Amino acid sequence: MNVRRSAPAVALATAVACFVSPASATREIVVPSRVQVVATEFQLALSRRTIKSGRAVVELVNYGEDDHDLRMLRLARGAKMLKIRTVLPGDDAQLRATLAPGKFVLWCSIADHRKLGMEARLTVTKRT
Amino acid sequence: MSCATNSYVSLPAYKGPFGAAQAERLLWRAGFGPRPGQAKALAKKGVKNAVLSLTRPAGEKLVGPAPTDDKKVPIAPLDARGHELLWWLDRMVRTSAPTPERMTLIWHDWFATSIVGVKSQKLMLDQNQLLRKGGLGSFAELLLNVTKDPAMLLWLSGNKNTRLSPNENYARELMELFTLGAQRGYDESDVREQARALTGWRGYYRQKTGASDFRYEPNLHDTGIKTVFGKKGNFDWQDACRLCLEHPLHPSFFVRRLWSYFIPTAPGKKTQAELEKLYRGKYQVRPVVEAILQHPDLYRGPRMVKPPVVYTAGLLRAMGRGVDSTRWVRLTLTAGQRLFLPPDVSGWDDERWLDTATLRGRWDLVAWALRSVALDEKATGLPSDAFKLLTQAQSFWHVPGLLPGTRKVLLDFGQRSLAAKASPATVLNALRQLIAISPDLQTA
Repeated sequence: MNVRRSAPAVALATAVACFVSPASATREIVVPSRVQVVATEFQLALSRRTIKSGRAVVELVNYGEDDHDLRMLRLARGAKMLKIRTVLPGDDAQLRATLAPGKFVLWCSIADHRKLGMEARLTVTKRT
Repeated sequence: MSCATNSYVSLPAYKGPFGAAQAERLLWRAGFGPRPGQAKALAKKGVKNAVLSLTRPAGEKLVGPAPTDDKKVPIAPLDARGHELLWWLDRMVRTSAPTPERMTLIWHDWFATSIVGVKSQKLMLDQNQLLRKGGLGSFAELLLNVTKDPAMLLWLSGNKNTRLSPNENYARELMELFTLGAQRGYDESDVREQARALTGWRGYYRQKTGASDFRYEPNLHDTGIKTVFGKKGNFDWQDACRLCLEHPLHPSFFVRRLWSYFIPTAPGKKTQAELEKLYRGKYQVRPVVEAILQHPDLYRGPRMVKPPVVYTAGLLRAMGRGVDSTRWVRLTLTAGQRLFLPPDVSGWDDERWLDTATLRGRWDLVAWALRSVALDEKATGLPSDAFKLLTQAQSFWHVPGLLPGTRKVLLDFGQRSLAAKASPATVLNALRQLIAISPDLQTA
């Protein structure tokens, strides 16, 4: 059955639908280290060369014309590789991780992009 | 007609009533709307002192909570996409000196530069600081600084413009968009010759930091004789700017364009001529802005649609709310104005802010602004009278009066909703939303 609704009722319903009680946030705030990696053909540019260890957000922004991803590896024996999925041109993606102090190498693993220049270094220093 | 001549040459100055309504319009046109009580306080100064207090602020303070993301984590303007926008929006909301900040927005539109071409939030923010610093000073100086600004060099290929391979991008926009206007006093030959004059700037790509190390390299500059606007010389990039400023059609372009940011109707011939006289040869922005802000047309003329970002900042200022969500990035985009991402090099179309898509964007924007202060639908203690609820909704936005048409529609809406058994709190929430989306708050 079709039910016709009056204009005010529709406006009211739409307006009301916009309001949801906000969740209260009382937990402790942890400020992560952040670095943005801008991918273009065929380069990776970092917003900073050094970040602090611990919780971190690494963001990949693809300002290029091809797809790009990000691989990140600490230069230490047994280190685990960190990954950001393939990001389409114009899009971005984030990796949240806990980073140990050390030197990291970052690269795009798609095709021969790394060989063409999409590699960069990041230093993670001990958080004091 | 109660006009008088102001102290700037022989321009008319508004001498009509200057109450809270006029002060509020001034605060919207020259800033981002009033904070509660600000319009009333400004009105007490009278129009001239009110304008001067805005254009010559003693200093600047950022008032209110610092910007955060949705998890209360401080924003990271250099390291997180969209946070550069939040950084600027926060300044618009919290600044105690709104006019210099509004001028920054005007120059961002005038010298429209997009992060899509620049690909660096740092360079965009550096340019933003440049526009803020020189916003009310000399246009000649601003033009020179913008011409060699790294973000602009990247955006309009100034860094690729060399004597062996001249690039016309910046030369064309320098005349068409920044100083003269399309097809006004130049031709294709001038574009080519100006491109030659502008050769020599270069930037380098450094692994890890991206585009950097921008500098002028004389060996990349074309030292030959160029002919620009019929004048011959071994012109360089500074000459290219100077020649545009000295062009007889520059003052008219400058005045008309600057005026259009504050007043929606074109200036009369006499006003246009006087403003040109005020500007010509000196290139000072502040006196022209001050004259426009005191002009009777600003107070007596038609209402003006607020740009989406101005509207957003104004809502937050009225609510006393800071920037506490990354949602504003998407919301301002759908409302039609994502900072640092103008649609093209000509900036945003200030005459077409409202369409079916962007109005929906504004609706969502208001809904998000109100979300955290929405009343529970079962809240008690509220009047069950549409007139009183409307008064309360107006108080929420600090809007003492509504346009007659708006008032009638909203009262009717309130009465019908209550009659349909909607709770007073639900109606009040809806009225807050509808007032904010009404012509009264979309325009000033």
